[in-house]
Amino acid sequence: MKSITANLARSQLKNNRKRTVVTIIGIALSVAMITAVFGFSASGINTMRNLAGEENLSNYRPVLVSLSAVLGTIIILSSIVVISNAFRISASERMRQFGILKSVGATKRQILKIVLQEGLFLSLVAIPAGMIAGLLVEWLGTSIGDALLAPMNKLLNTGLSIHMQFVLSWESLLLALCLSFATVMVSAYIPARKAARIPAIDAIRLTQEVKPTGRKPRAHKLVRLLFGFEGTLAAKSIRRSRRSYRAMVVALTISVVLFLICGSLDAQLAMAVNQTYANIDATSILTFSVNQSDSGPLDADSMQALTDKLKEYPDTQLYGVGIDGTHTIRISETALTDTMLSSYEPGQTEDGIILLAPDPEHYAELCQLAGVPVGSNILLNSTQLVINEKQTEFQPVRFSGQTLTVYHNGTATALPLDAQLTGTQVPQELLFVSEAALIVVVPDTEAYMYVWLGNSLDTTGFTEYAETVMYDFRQTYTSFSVTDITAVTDMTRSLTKLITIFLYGFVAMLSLIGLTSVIAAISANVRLRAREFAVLQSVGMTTSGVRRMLALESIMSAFKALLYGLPLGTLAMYLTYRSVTIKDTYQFIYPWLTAAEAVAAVFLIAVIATQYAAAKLRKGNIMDVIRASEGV
Amino acid sequence: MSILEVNKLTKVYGKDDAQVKALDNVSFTVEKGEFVAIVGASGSGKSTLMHLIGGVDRPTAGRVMVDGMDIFTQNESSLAIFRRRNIGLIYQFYNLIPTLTAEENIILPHLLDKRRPDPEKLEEMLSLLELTDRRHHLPGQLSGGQQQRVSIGRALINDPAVVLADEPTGNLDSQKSHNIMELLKLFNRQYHQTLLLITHDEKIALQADRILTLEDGRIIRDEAVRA
Repeated sequence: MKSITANLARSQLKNNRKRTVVTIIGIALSVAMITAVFGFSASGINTMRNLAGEENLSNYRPVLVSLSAVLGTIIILSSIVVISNAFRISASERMRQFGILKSVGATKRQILKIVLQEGLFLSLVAIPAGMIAGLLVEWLGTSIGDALLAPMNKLLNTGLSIHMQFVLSWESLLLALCLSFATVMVSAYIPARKAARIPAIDAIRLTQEVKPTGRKPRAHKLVRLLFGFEGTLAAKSIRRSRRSYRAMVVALTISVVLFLICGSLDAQLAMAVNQTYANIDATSILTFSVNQSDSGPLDADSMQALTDKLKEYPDTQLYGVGIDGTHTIRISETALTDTMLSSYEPGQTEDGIILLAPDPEHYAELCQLAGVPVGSNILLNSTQLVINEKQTEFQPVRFSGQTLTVYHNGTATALPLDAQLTGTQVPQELLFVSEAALIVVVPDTEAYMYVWLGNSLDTTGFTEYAETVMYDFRQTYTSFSVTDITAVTDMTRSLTKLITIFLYGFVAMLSLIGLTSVIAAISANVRLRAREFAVLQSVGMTTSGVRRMLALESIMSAFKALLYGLPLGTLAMYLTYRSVTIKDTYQFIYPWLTAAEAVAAVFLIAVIATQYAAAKLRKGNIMDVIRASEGV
Repeated sequence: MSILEVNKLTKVYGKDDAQVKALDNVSFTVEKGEFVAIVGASGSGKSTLMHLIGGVDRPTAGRVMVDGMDIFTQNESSLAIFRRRNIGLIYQFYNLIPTLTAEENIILPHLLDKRRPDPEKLEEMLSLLELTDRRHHLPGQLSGGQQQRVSIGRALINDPAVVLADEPTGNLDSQKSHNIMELLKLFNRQYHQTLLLITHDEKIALQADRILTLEDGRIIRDEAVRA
């Protein structure tokens, strides 16, 4: 024989098919997310194991485990808020039923059992569905991830390749199953306990849920002014049934916060990618250097030969430059501009100065630009610093055609400055290779490192060619590198895309859960308040008036979510900016577009919810509704 | 021994200034098989008295003995079980479970006990209630009179010590009201079912053996009805 509690639980689910479906979707989404997070964690651990070896795994495991613990906690907590709300609605609809059951002799335990069994039935369907969906997400995620990692593997070219693999980890599946089940049961238990505690007589009279809390719901005058009488009623009913709307506000707030964090992280990643090779019109970076403590400078003639040899590759331009960073300088305050002094204090110690020797062709261009004959020393008077959180380009040196004194291994040398180039006159290539504030082009300087920025139609071919050429030119104490920028940028872009997809996927799923809770709350609201609406209509409120009231309720809740979500999100954004980026590398830019998108999305959800509620409003005879709700 | 003994029963609602004495030191006894009508104006304490006897509410002071058992000495769970076995409640607004069929609603006290009623007895009950062909209908598919008959069946299926009916005909027209009263009287006469009926309708009250009149939470009259 079926137990009566199970029977009642099942019939409640059958009777409110729509809400049952929405609740199942909500639970399934939560379960899917929990499963996916643990799945990714297992996959990540697997990747690390392959990459770093079993013995080093202990270094990485805590990071991944704690990351998934944090994400899991966020998901579980917001799931409990949302799912619990669904059960609360379901229980409060049947408060009267529970009263009847109690009056014919049902115990507290039996009432508790009815609600918990409802959770059990929902779990039976929703948890397997959610776990399958979660595994699907994991499979999809790891496949996309692996595809995006491919260019990186090609680039690293070290025989060590990173792969993301779909891992079916029974431990994490079991963990997800237990946590999901616990989440549903806790969500069901909270309202079930409350329903079971209400005295039979109160439940029959249905006084508990509408019992005045002593505080009179009040609406602000402004609300009345802006939205009229319907607005006042809307504000009051939100205050009165704070709990129904709480789940909606919490879900939307969490979504807004996460959305903003994602937007900000995304922007920062994009900025980091752009920053690295910002203004460089190059496809390759080549370096050839010698360790200065072991050997003298590189031989200028052989470097010229190397440059010529590199240039032989078809459809390829090169910007070569020799770099000498072995000199120091004692700079006086009078030689620096105010802007420079504001962020830099010339000390007693010596500061670095970079001497550059571009290849003859480009050097000639510089001389022409500065209006001096070939052989002159040219000051590159341009640098960039973050001042007041803003990237600023300025002239560091007060140029007057002066002669600087530079030191090399304690010997002083005079370095006359014949001309200067400022602002956009300074080629980006030269700023790219040296990061110092003081840079002087000195044609015959002795370089310890040569850098070429290459532009080739066939980057891959040129990379191979350059590697063989440089290999032939190598000597003792020299080292060289060839970097394919296109590949690097491709890789960073792929990684950025990968991270973005995961982040936004996460947010999208949370928002979906939010939407299901909004719809569940509203449909229950409409059903529970049928009588209230009927009474309002019987005293002359029009149907569109009732609709307007419902619309305003959704919009006010959305507004509330934004009121919490935007400041919290902004704070979280700033915190991630602080913790993720190296200080002062690039400035904090408020992602206005993301914020605007968040606002638009929240109001869109509110509008959808309202449309849904309006559709739910039945056009029945008013008195029938009033009478019907008195009966059964 | 009396089947029902109400002893100095007092119920106070609210606190301090807002105190309302719904019942004030009410005492009376009912013998097995008696049919007692409780009458009084609205607010006289009728429903409070019934809820207390039914064990769904707790008194401020006083005792209720049903079949020799002091019902308020029990904790909530055992009181619930006692209620399901010994007390039948009939309301003005039927109070059926909308998702259960007529038959399931009737045998609800048994179902809560995880028992099946005697099938013969169930058939007899259904035919007495004229619900045999309606047994698989949901409450929403039944008329008001039929719904009330279901709730009577639910109250009586367990042969309770006491059946409490709160304005059972209050929501029905005079013909249906008459049928319901005939049914209740039938159970009272034929099965010696103890019956307490709350009403403000004098004609209905006069069908009982005895009338208790309540006013401001006190019994002001307790008289037998001359047949």
